[in-house]
Amino acid sequence: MAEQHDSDILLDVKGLTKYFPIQRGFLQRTVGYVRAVDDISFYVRERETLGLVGESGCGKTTAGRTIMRLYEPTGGTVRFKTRALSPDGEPQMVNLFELDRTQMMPIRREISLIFQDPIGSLNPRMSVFDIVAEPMAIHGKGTGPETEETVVRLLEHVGLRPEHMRRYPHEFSGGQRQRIGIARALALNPRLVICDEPVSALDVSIQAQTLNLLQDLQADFNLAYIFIAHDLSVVQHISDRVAVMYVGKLVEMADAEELYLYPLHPYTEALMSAVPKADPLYKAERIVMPGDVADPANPPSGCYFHPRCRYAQEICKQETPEFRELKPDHWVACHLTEALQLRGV
Amino acid sequence: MNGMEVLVEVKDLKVQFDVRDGIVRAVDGATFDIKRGQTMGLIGESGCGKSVTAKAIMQMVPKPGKIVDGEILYHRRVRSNGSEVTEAINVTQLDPDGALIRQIRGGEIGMIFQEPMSSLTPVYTAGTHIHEAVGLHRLIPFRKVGAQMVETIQAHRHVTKEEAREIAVEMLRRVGIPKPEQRVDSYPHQLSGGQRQRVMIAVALSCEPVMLIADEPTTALDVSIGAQILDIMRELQETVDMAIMFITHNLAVIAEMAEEICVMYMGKIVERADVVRLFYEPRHPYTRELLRSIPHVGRKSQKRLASIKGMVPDPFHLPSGCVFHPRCPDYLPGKCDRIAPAWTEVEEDHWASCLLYEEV
Repeated sequence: MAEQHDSDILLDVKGLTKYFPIQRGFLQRTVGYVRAVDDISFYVRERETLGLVGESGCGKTTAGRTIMRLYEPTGGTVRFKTRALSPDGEPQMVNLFELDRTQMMPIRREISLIFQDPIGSLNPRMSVFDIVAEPMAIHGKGTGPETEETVVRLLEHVGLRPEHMRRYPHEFSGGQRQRIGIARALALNPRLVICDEPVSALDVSIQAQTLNLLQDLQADFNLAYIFIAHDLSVVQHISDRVAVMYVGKLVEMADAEELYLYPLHPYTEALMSAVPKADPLYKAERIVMPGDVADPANPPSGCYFHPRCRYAQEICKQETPEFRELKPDHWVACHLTEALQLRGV
Repeated sequence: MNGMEVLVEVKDLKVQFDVRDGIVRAVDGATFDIKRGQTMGLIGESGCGKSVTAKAIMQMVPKPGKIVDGEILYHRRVRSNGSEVTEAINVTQLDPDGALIRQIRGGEIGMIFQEPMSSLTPVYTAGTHIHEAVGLHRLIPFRKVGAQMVETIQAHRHVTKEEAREIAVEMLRRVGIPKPEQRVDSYPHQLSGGQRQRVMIAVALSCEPVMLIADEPTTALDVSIGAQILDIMRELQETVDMAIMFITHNLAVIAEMAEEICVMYMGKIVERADVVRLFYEPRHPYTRELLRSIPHVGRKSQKRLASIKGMVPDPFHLPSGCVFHPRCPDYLPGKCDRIAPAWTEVEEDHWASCLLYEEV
C-alpha cells in the first residue's frame, strides 16, 4: 500500500483467515474445513466507508465478525488504531489477535456492529432505554442521570424522540427499529462501525432515510464504516471504496466509482452486468456465469472463479492469483487482467 | 396498449381484514387490467396490498380477509363444439374450494412467490395433495422434486405419468437446471435457493398457464441468480405467450420486466402507466418520490438520496382525504386532507389519483 496513506489507516487486515471445521461421526472427527474467509487483506481509512460485496455465503459476514473476534481467527493479523490502551489516549496500532479477553474489552467500545434484522437483534423484553444503555452498562460507563442524557442525545441523533425511550421494540416500525440498533451501536463512541446489511430489510423510502442518517452520523462522529451488503447500487452510493468477495477471497478492491465503471476482475464485471437498472429504456447485456458458486469446503484449484470465468486460461486452473495493487489503490487478484478489456455498469 | 386483448379485469376491488383492533382495508378500490401476453408490474412498499391483490385474483385471500366489493373478471378461452370461445368468469363469485377455481389456480394461472423453501409452512402435512401445495407455490420437503412435478402436471393436464415426467424433465432443462434427468430425482433441500426458484418456475410453466403471478420472485436471491431468473421468465414468456403479473418493491427489477405498471400505496392504486412514461414522466407525487429515493449505479451524481418524509401510516388510522397527504411534498392544505382524489386519466392511458389533476 502507498506509504503516504499510512497515517490515515484505522484498520489494517492482512491474511485474515477463518476456517470452520466439518465434523462427522460419533467422535466428531474433523473431516475437512469450510474456508469461509481465506487469506484476505484490506484496509479501512479513518472516516471512510469501505463497502464489502459478494453473493450469499461468500464470507462477508464472517469476515466482519472475525475482525471483532466474535469468531476466533484461524490466521492473519488485524491491526487497529486504538486510543483505549494508552493512558493519554494516544493512538497506537495494535494487533487485535494478540490481545487477551481483558485487553480486548476496551477495544470493543471502539468497534461496533449494526445488524441486518432489526427485529431479531433487539431484545423484545427490554425497553429502548435499556437496549441503548446496555453497552454502557457492560462497559461500566453508564450509571445515574448522565446515562439518561446520553440515551436521549443518541435517540435524537438518530431521529427518534426522547419519550420513545420508555417503549418496547414491538411498538416501532422496521425503520425505527433499525434506528434503535444504530443508536445502540453509537452508545460507546465507536470509531469503526461494521454495518452488516443494515438496510436490506427496509422498504425503499425508509432505506433512503436510513442511508442518509448513516452518512450524517459518519460526518458528525468521524466514523469509519465497513458496509456489508449484496445490493450493489446501495453499496456504491454509500461507499468511498468497495471490495468484492468471492468464495472467501477478495478478488478486487478499488474506489467505488472506478470499480463500478472500470472493473479489473471478470467476476466484478459479471456481477456489474447483473445489476438491474431503474431505466426501462436500458437494455441489459448480461454476462452469464455458468454453474453455481463454488463450495467453500471444496474449492476449485487455482483461481476459485476459473470454472465460471469466460476468460479462463490454463494458468487460472493451476495457480492461485496474487491480490496485487495494479494501480494506486486499485487491487485485483487475476492472472489475466492486463490482457482483458472489461466492461463496467 | 389499446386494442390488446384483456385477460384479467379487476374493477374496484376491495379486500378487508376484520381483526381484533379494527378493519384493515388491505385493498381499497383497485382497478386495472392485465392483457394477454403482457407483463403488468405492481409496485409498492410492504403492507401496501400488492400481495393481497394477487391472492384475490386466485380467490385465496387468507382469513380473516374477505373480498367485500368489486369484480375480478377472468376471460377464459374454452373449446366448445370445436371452436374457441371466450367466457368471462367472475373469480370473486367462485367457491374458493370449488373445482373450477382449483383448475384455474396453479393450472391456468401459475404462481411463484419468494424463496420457495423459506415460505414452507408446517400446515402442509404429508396428507396435503401435492398438486395443490405445489400449485400454491410450495415445495414439500422429503418428496422428490420430480414426483411433485408429475403429480401437479397430471392434476392440470391429461397426460400419463410417463408423459408428465418427460414434461417435467424438459421444463427443468428449459429453466436451466443442469442434468435435469438426474435432478428430477433430488429432494428440495438438495437444491440451492436459485435452483428451487427455477423448479417453481418449471412447475408453474409446465401446466401451460395463460398467466403467471410472480410475487417478489427474485427478492431472496443474489443479483446474478436473480438476473438469470428474470431472463428465463422473459424467454419463456416469448415462447408461450403468457401474461405476467409481476409484484415487487424493487424499481430496477420492474423497469426491466414490465410493460405496464401500477403503483400501490396503502391499498390504493395511485398511478398506472406504461413503463417508460411511469419512469420518465411520473405524475403522482408518491411515484416521483419513490423514483428519486433509490440510488443508481454508475457515475456518482447524488451525494444524498431524496427520501420520503415520515412513515407509512398505521392501517387502522388512515389519514383523511388522500392517504399520502402527510408525506406529500405537493400537499395542498385544506384540500388534500379533506377530499379523496378520484381516479383520473391525466393523459391517454395514464391514470393517477391526485388532486393536482382535478379541478377542486
